[in-house]
Amino acid sequence: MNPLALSLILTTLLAGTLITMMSSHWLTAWMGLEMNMLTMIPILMKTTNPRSTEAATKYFMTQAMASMMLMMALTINLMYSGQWSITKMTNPVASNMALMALMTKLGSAPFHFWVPEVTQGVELTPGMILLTWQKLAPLSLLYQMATYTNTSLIYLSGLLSILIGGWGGLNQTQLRKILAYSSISHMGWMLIILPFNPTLTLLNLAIYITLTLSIFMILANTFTTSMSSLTLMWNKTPAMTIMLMATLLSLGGLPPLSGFMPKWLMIHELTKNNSIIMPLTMAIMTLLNMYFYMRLIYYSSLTILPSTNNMKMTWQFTNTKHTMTLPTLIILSNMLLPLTPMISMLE
Amino acid sequence: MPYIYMNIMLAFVISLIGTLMYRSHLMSSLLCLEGMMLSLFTLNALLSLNMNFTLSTTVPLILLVFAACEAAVGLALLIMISNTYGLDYVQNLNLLQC
Repeated sequence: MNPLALSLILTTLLAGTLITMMSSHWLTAWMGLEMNMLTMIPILMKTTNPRSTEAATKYFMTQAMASMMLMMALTINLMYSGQWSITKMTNPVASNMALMALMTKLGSAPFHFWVPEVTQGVELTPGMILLTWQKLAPLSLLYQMATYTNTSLIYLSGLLSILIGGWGGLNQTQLRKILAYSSISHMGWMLIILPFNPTLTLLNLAIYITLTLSIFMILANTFTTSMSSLTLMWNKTPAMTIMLMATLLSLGGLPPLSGFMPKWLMIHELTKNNSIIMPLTMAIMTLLNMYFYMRLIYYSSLTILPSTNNMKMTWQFTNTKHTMTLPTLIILSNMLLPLTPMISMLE
Repeated sequence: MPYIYMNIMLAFVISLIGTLMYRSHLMSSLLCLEGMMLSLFTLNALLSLNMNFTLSTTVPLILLVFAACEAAVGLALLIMISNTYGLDYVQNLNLLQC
């Protein structure tokens, strides 16, 4: 893309999210969300093939409809309380409608249908921006307004997200769809802990963004988008294969890696509040996620699938693709568990 | 609640249903999106005038600006779809299914 246009688009993306995150008036928050959506469309359509066009159209339709529903909720709130403050949305109709609109923007069940298709239709880098940066603005709004919503709706959506994220990803061979269902599942975890301890939502978001960025950058570095190309990664960049294994295990929430930290703290928080069945269901459903991560690890690093001898003796080219912050992100996504007591800093 | 507000909220709900339940053309969905925006504009303008929210009288105009941008982007996407398929039928958008 033209560098001037690209810098303008990325600046608008940054500005939109920052405007939403730093606002206390609902109208500026809504304007930031609109700016995010409008500037995401050219990012999704960087390559102009029919799949990108279809992905951009589906993204536009769902997000525009969610924005309109959010604006209606704000207008109803204005009608009943006369103010535009984000933290005081006391009318139940308005706050639940805004909750549903924000859940659509995040891609959590039952409004999750656009996430796999849109992530699949675009390249790896726009997909990365879609699944990480676009979660910041709606979650910052949810963090502030969730106290007045019906918590049953939040629990329902969260549990459904974990179920659908787990079961939906089982039959996939395309890596972008697998990461989309993983995103749906993690959104479920983030939503459920929101009424109990919102700080853990932010912690989960931070660690999820680190992990997802690592995985997307590893995949973008080796140009792999499906499981069949993943099986040939061992010959080109064996170090990245091992890093992918460690990061995927961390995403599934295995103990000595940092992905275990948010899940452990969230289950601890839920059991402190005398809720046993819900964390049990959540933990068991996340095992479905773990199954398809294990399948990816199995195919990329633990076994070598049958291939011709030509594949086993490829010419070892040096890697000329710039790995931006990948070493730092991989260390952060695997070795943060001993720093768990430092989350008291976040309170 | 005064009858006029309920009337415009009903217009919003009908446009929302029109966005979600359309037969074949994507254009009708975009039109209902604009219908939602129009009902929101009217509701906001009436609220600012009836309840004397003098500082919020610019809110309908700001909504209109963003809705115009959205409409432009939506139409541009519609044109790109028409470039590929010749029509804007939504059953053509089936490349990305599982």
